Amino acid sequence: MTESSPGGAGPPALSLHEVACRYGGRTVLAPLTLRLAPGAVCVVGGANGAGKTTLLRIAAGLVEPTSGSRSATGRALYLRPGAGTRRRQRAVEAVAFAGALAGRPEPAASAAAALASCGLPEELWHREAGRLSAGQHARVTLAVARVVAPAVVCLDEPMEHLDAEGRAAVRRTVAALAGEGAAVLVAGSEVARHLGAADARLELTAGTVTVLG
Amino acid sequence: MSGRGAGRQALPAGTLGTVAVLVRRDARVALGGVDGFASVLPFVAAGVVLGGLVLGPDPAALRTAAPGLVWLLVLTAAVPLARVVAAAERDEDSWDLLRGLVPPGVLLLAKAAVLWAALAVTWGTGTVLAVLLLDGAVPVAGFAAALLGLVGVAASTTVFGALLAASARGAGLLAALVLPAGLPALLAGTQAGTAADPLPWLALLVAYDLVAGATAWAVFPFLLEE
Repeated sequence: MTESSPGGAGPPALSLHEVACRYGGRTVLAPLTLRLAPGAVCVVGGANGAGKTTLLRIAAGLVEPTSGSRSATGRALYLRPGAGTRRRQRAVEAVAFAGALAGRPEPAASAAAALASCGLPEELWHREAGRLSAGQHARVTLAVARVVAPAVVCLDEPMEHLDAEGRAAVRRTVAALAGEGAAVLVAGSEVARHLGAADARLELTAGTVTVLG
Repeated sequence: MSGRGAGRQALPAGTLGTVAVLVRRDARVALGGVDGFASVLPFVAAGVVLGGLVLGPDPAALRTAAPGLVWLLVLTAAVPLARVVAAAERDEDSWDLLRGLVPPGVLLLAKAAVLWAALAVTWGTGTVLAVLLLDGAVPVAGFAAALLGLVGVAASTTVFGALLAASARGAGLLAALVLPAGLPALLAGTQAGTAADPLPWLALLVAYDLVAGATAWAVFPFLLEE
């Protein structure tokens, strides 16, 4: 079993206790214990099919682990680039919709602030999400994460489709979410290289986790 | 286990507000496009016209068959409409966000409300066409039957929609389930609009709504799990 508890000794925002996942007799994720304190950032690396997405979806509460337990202190979000919007929603409407569901008192104003912080040019805010480029759409997804302000955020391959400026937006968003007290799990094969500092680094190989730091 | 299960049995505060936000979003998406809901209305119009041609020129036969024909078309339209529950959300990668932010009970209410509205518009369109083209008549009991019966159909279709999204294969087989599940609405809805005493049929529709609603409430959270 692999164990990691980065980000301090206080009560964790996310706690995975010996979670494991098997599909059809095949081990997708070997038993893992992970506790993330509020504001901690954990980078999960590994090749395609190593189990990164399964780990993140378990952490977000979307997948029930085969064994072990998971708890979080509040809302948990799992987001891939471009996720969280309907194609026919305008970018600002999609972010405001997420804000309204999260109980933001002024979702439209919060959406505008979130889109600005994620670097989406204002002239694109009223464009339908389906008509944005992949990189622009990915920034809308980051804005969704900002406006919801969850306790746990799981970003899957957030650097995908992004240029240098977009990757900087991801770094800013991760830092802002952590600064607001969210535990952030970021997965991707190239994430560690682009994200910079993190409180923990995990490497997945065929479902088995190695703690790198 | 996870925190998701905590919202299964009780509805949290602000439920109606969340349902309204979801319904408004789905309505905007539906009205902004030409597929999905918008494609159902031409199907219903074609069904009424073709049904009339099949039944022949006898006005009495057309008038008798019109309410049942409309209900049959509404039930058939429920199969493609079920995509609005989860399949369309999953295809556009917005399903996980809803699962993360909205408790299952609230999601069920919102999606069933959207489906009820879509089915009601479908029934209304079919009924107007049936009155115009088949010389049909709609007594007050017929409207009451539609308002009541479509609640149960919407609840059943919401379950079917979640099942459809959870099952990558066997969608065709699953489609065969929604039609028998709507059979009570088809029979009682038709009879309530034509029988001399509609009250027993309306009572049957209320019972159908209760059973369909309770079943949907019980199974929907499990259909969201992976």
